[in-house]
Amino acid sequence: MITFATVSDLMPIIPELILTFVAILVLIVDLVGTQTKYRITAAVLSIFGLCIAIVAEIQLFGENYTGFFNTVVADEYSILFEIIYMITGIITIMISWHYIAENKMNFREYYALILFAIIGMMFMTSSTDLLLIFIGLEIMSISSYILVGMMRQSVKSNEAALKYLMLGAFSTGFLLYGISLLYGATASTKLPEIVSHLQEHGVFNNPLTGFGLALLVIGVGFKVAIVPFHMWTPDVYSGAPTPVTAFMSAAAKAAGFAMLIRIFLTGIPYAERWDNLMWLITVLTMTVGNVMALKQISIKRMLAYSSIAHAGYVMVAVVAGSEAAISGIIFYSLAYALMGVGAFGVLSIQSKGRTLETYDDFTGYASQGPKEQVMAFLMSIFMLSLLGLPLTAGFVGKFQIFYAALDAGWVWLTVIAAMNSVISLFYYLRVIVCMYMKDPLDSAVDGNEQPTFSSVFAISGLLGTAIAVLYLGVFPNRFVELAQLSVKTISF
Amino acid sequence: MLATEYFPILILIVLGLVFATVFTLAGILLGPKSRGKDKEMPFESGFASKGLVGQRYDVKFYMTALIFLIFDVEIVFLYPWAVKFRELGWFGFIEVCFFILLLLVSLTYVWKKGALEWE
Amino acid sequence: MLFTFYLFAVIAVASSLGVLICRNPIYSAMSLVCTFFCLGVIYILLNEEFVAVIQILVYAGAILVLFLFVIMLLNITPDGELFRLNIPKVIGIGITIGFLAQIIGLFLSGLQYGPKDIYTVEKLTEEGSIAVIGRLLYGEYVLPFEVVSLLLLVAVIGAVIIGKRRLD
Repeated sequence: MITFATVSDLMPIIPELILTFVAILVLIVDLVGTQTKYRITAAVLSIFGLCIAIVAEIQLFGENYTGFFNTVVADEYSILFEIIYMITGIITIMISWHYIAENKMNFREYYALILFAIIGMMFMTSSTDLLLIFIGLEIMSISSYILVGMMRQSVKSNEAALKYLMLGAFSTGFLLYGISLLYGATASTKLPEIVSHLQEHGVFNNPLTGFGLALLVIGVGFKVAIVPFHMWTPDVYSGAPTPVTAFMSAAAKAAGFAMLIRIFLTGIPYAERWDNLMWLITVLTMTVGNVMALKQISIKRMLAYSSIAHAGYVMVAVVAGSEAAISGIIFYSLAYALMGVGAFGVLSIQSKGRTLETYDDFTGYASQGPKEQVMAFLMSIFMLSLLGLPLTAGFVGKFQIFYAALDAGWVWLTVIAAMNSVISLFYYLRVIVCMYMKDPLDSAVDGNEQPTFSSVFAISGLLGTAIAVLYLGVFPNRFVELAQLSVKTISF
Repeated sequence: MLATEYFPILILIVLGLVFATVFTLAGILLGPKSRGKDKEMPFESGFASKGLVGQRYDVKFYMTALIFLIFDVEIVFLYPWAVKFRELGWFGFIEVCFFILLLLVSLTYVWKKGALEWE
Repeated sequence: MLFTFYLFAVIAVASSLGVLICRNPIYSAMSLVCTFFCLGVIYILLNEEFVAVIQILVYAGAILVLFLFVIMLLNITPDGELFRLNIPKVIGIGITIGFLAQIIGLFLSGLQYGPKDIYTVEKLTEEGSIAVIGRLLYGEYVLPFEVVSLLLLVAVIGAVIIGKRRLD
C-alpha cells in the first residue's frame, strides 16, 4: 500500500514554492535578453518574490503546519530563521546590483542562484528529516560554490571557489557518513525518532551513535566555520565577490546554526565529555577568530576572521543549550545577519572608482566627500554593533547569550567570551579611527562623482540595514519575545 | 537464488573475458612479425607522427559530459517509477510531471545558453 | 555467496590500491572502474539491485568519463615522484590511520545495530528492491524527491557557468 501526500501537505512549504516559482521566472527572464532592462527586471522580481514569501511566512506564523509525513514543519522557529534569510537576501540583492554594474561582470544567473540558495536554507531549517536537511544543505552549498566563483576573470575568485568546493565536498562526506551511521543505529532519518531512540538508549552506550554524532558535528562545523574546521573561511570570504561574502557570512551561517540547533539541541542527551569537547571548540573558535583578526591588513579578511569569532559567541549559547540560550541564538543570528551584511556591504561599494579593501583604502575615508561621509557613518554603526556597544543589535544579542550562559552555570566560558569581546575592540575601532582621524593617503582622489542610480539603491539598502541594527538595539523587546516564543515550538 | 538469477551475467562476463584474451593471444602468437623503427611508430595516416599522445582536450568535452551526468542522474530517479507505474497511478504521474517540468527548465537553460552548441 | 563476496571484495581492495599506486593517472582511473564494478557486485549480494544499477550506470559510466576528461583536460603526465614524504603528508597519514583505527575499533567493540527497519532481506527479495524504493520515493519521501530536481537544476547552472568558455 502506498501512502500518498495530499494537497494540504503543501501548506508548510508555500513560501518555498513561491520562491521556487520566482527563481525559475528570474532564470527565464535572464535567458530572454542581455540588456540592462532585463537585469533590472531580474533584480526587482527577486526582491518582489522575497517580499511575497515573507508575507506568506508571516501568514503561516503560529499555525504550526506539518506536512509530507512530518518531513517539513512550519513552526515559529523555522519561520523566524527563514525570514532572517530572506531579509538578508533582499539586502544582498540591493547591494549586488551596484557591484555587478561597477565590476562589469557576467553575473547573469546571480539573482536566481541567490534565491535557490535561500530555498536550500529554508528546507534545511524547516525539515525534521535528515534526508531533506541534507538535500537543502547541498542546494545551498552548490549555489554558494557557484556564486563564489562567478567572477570568472578574477584568479582570487576562482581560487576561492575551488577551495570552497573541495573542502565543502569533504565536509559533506563527513556529514553523510554521520547520517548513515545514525540511521544504522536508530533505523530512522527522522529527527524526532532519532532523539527518542537516543533518549532511551543513551548516546555513548553505542559507539555507532557517538561516532555518527561526532561526524555530524564535523560536517555542520565546516558550514558554520567553527575552529578546527574554519580554514577555508578567510580565503573564500576574501576571494568571493563582496556581496556574495556578505550573503554567505550572514545567511549561510544562520542556516548552519539553525540546522545545528535542530539536530543537536532538541533533546539528545549528552554526557559530560561531550560538553567538555564543545567547550574547547567554543573557546578556540572565539580566540582564534579574534586574535587572527587583529593582524589582518585587509578589512575583508579581518571581517572574515571576525565572523569566525562571532560563530564562537553563538557556540557559547550552543554549549549552554538552555531555552534562553537558543532564543539568544535566534536573536543573535538576526543581529549578525544585519551587521555582517552591512559591514561587507560597505566594502562592496566603490569610492571614486576604487575598490575598498585594506585599512589603507579607508584612511581618511570620512573626509572625501558627501557620499563617503554617509558610508563612513554607516560603517561606524556596523563596527560598533559588531563590537557589541549598547544601543546596537550586537549588544542585545551578546547580552542575551552571555546571560543565558551564566544562567546555565558556564561562568568561565562567559568570562573568556567577554575577554574576547575586549580583544575585538582593537580591530573594530581601528576601522573607525582610520576613517575619521587620519588624512587621506593620496590626495589625488578628489573631485565629485555623479552618484549612479545603482549606488543610491545600494546605499539606501545599507541605510535601512543600519536603521534596523539601531532599532533592534533600542527596542529589542518584541523580537526577544518572538524568539522566546519560537523556541517553545522546537523542544520535543 | 542469486546464483541462478545472475548466472547469465556471469556467463556473459566470462565469455567476454575469454574472447578478449583468446583473440589478443591469437594475434600475438599467430600473426606475422616484422620489427623496425618505422614499424614501431604509431600510424597517423601515413604522416610522420609528431607530439605526444596526451593532447590537451578542450573544456567543451568536459561540459558536455557534466551535463550528460546530471541528466543521467535525473533518469535514474525515474526507474523506480517505471517499476511501480501501475500502483503509483495518476498521483505518481503528477509527481513525475513536476520533476520533468524542472528538468525541462534546466534543459531550456542549457539550450538557450548555447551550451549544447559546438562553438 | 560468501565466496563471491570475498572474491569481489579482494578485487575491489586490490584495484583501489591500484588507483593509488599507478603512476599514469589514466591507469588509475581504469582501476577505479574495476573498483566501482566490484562494489556493484557487492551491492547485488546485499539485495540492493537499484544501488548496484546506479553504481554501474552513474559511477562507472558517467563519473569516470568525467574523471578521464579532467585528466585529459589538464594533460597530466605520469609523475616521476611517487612518495615524497613531508611533514603535512605525515600528519595527514597519521590522522587517516587514526581514523581508520577508530572505525575498525568501532566495528569490533560491541556494535549495536538499531531496531530492524521493516525492510528486511525477505521483504526486499519478495517485492524487489527497486519496487520498494519506488514505493518510498514516490510515497513517503516525495518531497525530498521533488527537491532533488531543484538541486539538479542548480547543478546544471553551475556546470554551464564553470564550463562555458564565453558567457555573453
